[in-house]
Amino acid sequence: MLENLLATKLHVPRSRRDLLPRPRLTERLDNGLRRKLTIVSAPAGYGKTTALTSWIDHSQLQIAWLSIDEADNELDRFLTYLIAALQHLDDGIGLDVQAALSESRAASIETLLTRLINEVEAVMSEQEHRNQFILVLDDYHLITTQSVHDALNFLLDHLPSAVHLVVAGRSDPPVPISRLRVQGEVTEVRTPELRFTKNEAAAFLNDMMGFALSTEEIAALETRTEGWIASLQLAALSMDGRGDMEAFIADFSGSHRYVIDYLIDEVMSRQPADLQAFLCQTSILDRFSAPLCDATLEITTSRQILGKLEGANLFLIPLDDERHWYRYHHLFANFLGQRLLEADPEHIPELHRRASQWYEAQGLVDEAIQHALAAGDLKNATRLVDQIAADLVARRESNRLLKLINQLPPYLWQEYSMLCIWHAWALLFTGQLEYVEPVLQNAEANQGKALETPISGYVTTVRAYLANQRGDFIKAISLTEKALEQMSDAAPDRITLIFQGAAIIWLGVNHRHLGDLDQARRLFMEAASLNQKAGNIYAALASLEQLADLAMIKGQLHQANEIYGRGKELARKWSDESGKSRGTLLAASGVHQGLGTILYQWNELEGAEHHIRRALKLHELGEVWGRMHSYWMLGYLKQAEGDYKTSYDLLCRAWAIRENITAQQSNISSEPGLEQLSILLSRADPDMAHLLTDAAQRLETRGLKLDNAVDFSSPEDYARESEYSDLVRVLIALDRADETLPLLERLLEAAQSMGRHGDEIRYLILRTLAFYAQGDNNSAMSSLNLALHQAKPEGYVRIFVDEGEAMAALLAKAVSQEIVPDYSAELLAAFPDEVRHAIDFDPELLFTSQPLVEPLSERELEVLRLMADGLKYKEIADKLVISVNTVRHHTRNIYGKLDVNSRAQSVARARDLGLL
Amino acid sequence: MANEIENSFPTVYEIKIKGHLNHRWDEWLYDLAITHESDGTTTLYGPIPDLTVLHSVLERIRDMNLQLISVNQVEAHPKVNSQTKTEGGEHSD
Repeated sequence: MLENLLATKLHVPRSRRDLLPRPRLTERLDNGLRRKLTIVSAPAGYGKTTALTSWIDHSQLQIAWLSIDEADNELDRFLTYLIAALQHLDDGIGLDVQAALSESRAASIETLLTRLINEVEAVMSEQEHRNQFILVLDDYHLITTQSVHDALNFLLDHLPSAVHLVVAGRSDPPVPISRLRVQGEVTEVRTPELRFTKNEAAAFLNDMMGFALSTEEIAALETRTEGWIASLQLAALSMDGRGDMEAFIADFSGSHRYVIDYLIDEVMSRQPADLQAFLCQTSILDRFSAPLCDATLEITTSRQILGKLEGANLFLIPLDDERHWYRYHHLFANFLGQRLLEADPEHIPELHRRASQWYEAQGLVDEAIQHALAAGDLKNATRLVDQIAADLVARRESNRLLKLINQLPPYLWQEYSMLCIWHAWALLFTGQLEYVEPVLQNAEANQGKALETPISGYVTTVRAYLANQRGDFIKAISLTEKALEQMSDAAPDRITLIFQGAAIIWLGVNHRHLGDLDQARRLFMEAASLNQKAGNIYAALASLEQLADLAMIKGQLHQANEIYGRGKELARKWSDESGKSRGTLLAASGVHQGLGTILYQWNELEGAEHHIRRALKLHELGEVWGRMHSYWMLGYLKQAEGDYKTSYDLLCRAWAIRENITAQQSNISSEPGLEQLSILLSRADPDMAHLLTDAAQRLETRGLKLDNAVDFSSPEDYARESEYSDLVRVLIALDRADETLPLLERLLEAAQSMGRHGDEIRYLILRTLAFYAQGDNNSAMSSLNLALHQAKPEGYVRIFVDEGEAMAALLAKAVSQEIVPDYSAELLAAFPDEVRHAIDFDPELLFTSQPLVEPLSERELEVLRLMADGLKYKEIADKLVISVNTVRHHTRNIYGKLDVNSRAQSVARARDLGLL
Repeated sequence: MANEIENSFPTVYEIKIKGHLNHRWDEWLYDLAITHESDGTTTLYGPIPDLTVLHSVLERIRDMNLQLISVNQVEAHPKVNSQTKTEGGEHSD
């Protein structure tokens, strides 16, 4: 049903079979296809829509049609329908953009439109016949908001060549018409073209309607109506079956009355009273079906009446092919509405109220709310908003919920405790933190008594999240625990599960911030399963991402990879089951970012780029922090590929986003970003070195302690750990490594004691670099030794390689000193050639003969490989078609050259050397 | 000050359209007085508080496909001298 109703906006109005052919218009419109825009502009009743539909029938081109109504003044809604119209071409168009629209902090409109335009272009270029297609925006004059006008102009400026845009309405759309004329890019079809000529009036009245009017009579009618088609149609209706046609024409021609007034009075006076009442009363409905009319008018005969109206040509426009939904011609609807206001104004709210009830019974709550508002029935409107609030929030349509609530008086919605809570939740998720607490307090005050459980638990959950957002983690933990306690006895219905799931994630996040990683891990696991049970996939994915992030901190790359894999699967299943729209696609952004980060660490750059670009594509549509992280990771990646120019551009974007966040949100000093970006940018471009000095100054003014006084077991210092590690990095980059050693010891201690082995590796590497910079090579090598041992089992690569030349020199030393030589050599191989040349190190030597006094022969290598496969001497001999003795001979040589005593040792050594 | 005077005495307009418009439309046309002239035109006359309303009236006229002949501002408050009026006009919207 809902789909039906939406579809009516996208339905190309069917041209009637008994239509007057108007070849001059069709030809004009056809010629217009060579230009990019056609404007069809004339008052109501000049046959704009009819001219377009009969042209479309004739042209056989692909078509996307959007009938605009006043509600499309909301940009999101306009774009949603525009996408739906474009999906007539290909139902894959605009899915991401659609998903972004439902998010609160959406991407810039240009980004979304560019994406959409590119997708249309891609679809059009894939089509075999390279046909044009026509996008029609009908009734565009109803748009009054600048943002939609801007979108239209952007679309027009970037229109793919295969698309022809038609904008029809009662006034001109605000496009630069003079410029378009000069460029020859616009065709205009206006009143003089659209009005009936004398010949067309004659053909219409005599040939189509079957009158036998004289040339003079036709001329009289044409002059009086000035070729206005709607009034000629009404005139025909007035004359139909009338004996005194000459008298009518004479009266009509001589009258000064407004032509439509005159004619509709004539037409209406000839209809039975019940039909007149039907027409007037149904005019409150923007669109209607027989059941809706029955319910609104409390009659049972609507279907017959509608059939009669359609047959009588009484300006009834079918909105679908099945003849379920109709509307009146706008001109006629205005007149009928005016008549109703005149005849029966007290009855109007009641009609709206019944329409609202009918829509509610059909589950079309949106329409029900609109009619309840029109009826002035704010009580029911509030009740209905309360009914859909949970769904809106779960679908991440917080903005829409807020808009609806704004139309309701507070004294009403404050009565609904759940609506207040969802309201507060929506405010939280749209970043309007200061309004959250007043809403909750009002809710409690208006209840006049203490809230019952589990509702009190919901309120406490919202408060806990508020505390969390404000950085008060200790308060957040105690509030969350209280909330969970208040919900502990509740029946596990969906809403309770949603709140419990949310509370447990937040509890986990807060424990994590305070350093209790094990507790956090347990909570995230519980939250993941609880949220999955509640069907709150967003929250389930958030829990999994937290779990994976903890694994990364602990240096468990493989485990993190596995968790992200589970998340990816969950997101995929969700979008398969719930349709690829809404938030379902966006939900996978964090998972892709995580997978990309791990592959990057493993130096699988291609795979990493794939995932991060995917994440960026999704983040571009939604989350601003995520967007910054994606650009940042891509900047890393391009440096790894040696593409410093691109890296620089990407990092600048990340920087711009980051600065924008600073400008818009306060209290985010602890969030990472600018310092690490400064380091990366200075690596990408030596001219950016001043950023490092700036960063150091910034950090030093924040009161960070560079001595033993810092204590990461205290929550205050632990919360600032990332700032401290930024400081260390910046100072090392500024050749002030000696100042960092005391701090590094503290950082290392903290990471070790908490089992944060991922962080530990990072700090060991920094300490190695600091020692090396001081010239303390022994300490550097022993620190590196520890880092290599920690990092080897999980296959870390980039964490070393990204440190550049100094690290390469150290690793070369490690190889020659036989410190984890195989892994060190593998890491060295990942450095770019120029770095290896700079440190005078050739990996080729390493891999083949360097540690060997004498290289293995081809034959010996063959034997070695078969030994590694576990073959016995006899089997090796058979395989190589040589004698067992010869195999023994080769084996002895291999042992000698590799300086080993056993088969197992030789295989291990050969692996170390990269021979296998 | 000029602004307040402007706001307390909305500008009066006289709008001429072709044909005789039924009085039933006055509610739709912001209660402008509808007068039928002998030359077959209708005059809509009355105070219009701001430009938004003027545009809305003109939009209604467009939507009804009434033929617009002229729109004139009428000097209805001689107390406000023309200079004040210009100054006020700059701020009033």
